[in-house]
Amino acid sequence: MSVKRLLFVDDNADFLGIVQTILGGIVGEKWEIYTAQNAGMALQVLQDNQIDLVVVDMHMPVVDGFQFLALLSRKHPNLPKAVMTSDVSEAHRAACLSRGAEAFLQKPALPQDWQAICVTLNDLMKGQAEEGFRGVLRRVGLQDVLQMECLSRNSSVLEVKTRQAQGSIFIEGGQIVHAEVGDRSGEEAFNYLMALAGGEFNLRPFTQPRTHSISAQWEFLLMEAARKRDEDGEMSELEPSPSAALAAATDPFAVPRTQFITKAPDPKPEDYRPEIAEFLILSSQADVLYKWQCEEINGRINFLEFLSQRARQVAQGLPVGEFQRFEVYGSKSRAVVQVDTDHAFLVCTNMVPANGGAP
Amino acid sequence: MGNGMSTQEWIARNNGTPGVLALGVYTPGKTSFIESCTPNFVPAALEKAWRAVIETISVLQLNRFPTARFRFVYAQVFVHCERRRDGTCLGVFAQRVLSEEEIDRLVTEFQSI
Repeated sequence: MSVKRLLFVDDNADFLGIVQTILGGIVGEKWEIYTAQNAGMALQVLQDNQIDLVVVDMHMPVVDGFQFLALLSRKHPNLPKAVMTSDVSEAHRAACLSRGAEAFLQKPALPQDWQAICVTLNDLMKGQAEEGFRGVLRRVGLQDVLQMECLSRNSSVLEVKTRQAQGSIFIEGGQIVHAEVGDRSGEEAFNYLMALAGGEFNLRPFTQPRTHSISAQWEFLLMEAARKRDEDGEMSELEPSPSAALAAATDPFAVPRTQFITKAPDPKPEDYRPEIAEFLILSSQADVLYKWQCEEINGRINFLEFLSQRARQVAQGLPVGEFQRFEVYGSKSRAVVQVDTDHAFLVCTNMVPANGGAP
Repeated sequence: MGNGMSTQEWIARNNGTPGVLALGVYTPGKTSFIESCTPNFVPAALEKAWRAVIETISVLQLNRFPTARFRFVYAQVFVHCERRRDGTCLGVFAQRVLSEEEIDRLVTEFQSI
């Protein structure tokens, strides 16, 4: 029987010691247990070892468990991941599961609770190496990629391209040293690029920038950019930005946004007709092949990834046949998800009055 | 219904309904129960499958989808889930040949327990 290798990532050194002592005592030599106190150390362990399962704490400084799950999903998409935390809530559970964690576990309070944890972790390692639909790049954001490059102490140039602008962020030895977009440079350019919504980004080999315009630590830069983005977001929720309004006005496919209704009285079927509210098609690599009225792409990709995993888990060991689709029914809405090895799609429909009036 | 019958009694009563392969109930208090109605659905695999189904509820909520009714559809089997207003979720693992009327009957009874 081959030895299984687990990596526990937690900023609490005492807890990692408990893991080594108690869990190590239960599993003996069947498992090799690695520990890391932060995301950077964890990435190094993953680079140096063939790890079978990563168990991540949710609350960690600098890069928290949510962010680290996103990083792992990009860099190690086939690696099973679990979250182990003391802060158990339904919201956290859903957030972790939808970011690629296959289990959300409460930290054991008593030594005897580790036995059950051991069984669950063992099950997770048995069910690994899933094939098929997996998000690779687009499911993580610009911030995730920057964190990964900095944590890994890489040198690279991150090119960012959207409808509005095209710019570059220069990373040298894990530090952000320069950013430029249009006439802007330095932190102003960096914050501008980090605030852009959507678009594409591309990592290319490092080249020396014309100047080193940034000296602040990357952690500070990311936090500051996030703060500014939140502030701008609060403003934009009150009033659409001119560029968004312009894009909507010039987009030939733009139509009035249809809310995906979740609660409403049951309609009489004959009075309503289905109207497509959202449509998304992804490749097996999570590239967007087609989207229509789909605003939260990364969230949707995570959702499809989650369903793909769970549909497989439901079928494991049960004679149910091949997975065909997932359906959600609301009182005046419906959503259908289909996940195959080469594509995934999501269609949401609302029931609207057949006579064309307001629902 | 509504006669004080417990959920487990209701499941036991409906175990054996033609086309129904397993029945499960998940309550918001985090207790869950699943009972196989066929030897082909072994308890260990069924419990794992049921756990995967239950986990879908919170992720649907996170993504602002309705959670009152959802369904995993496979070539031979579908898993129909129905949530009551109190959050309790019924799961019916059924053969594809099971009629919608039969599902409706199970759901209606479940709603009134």
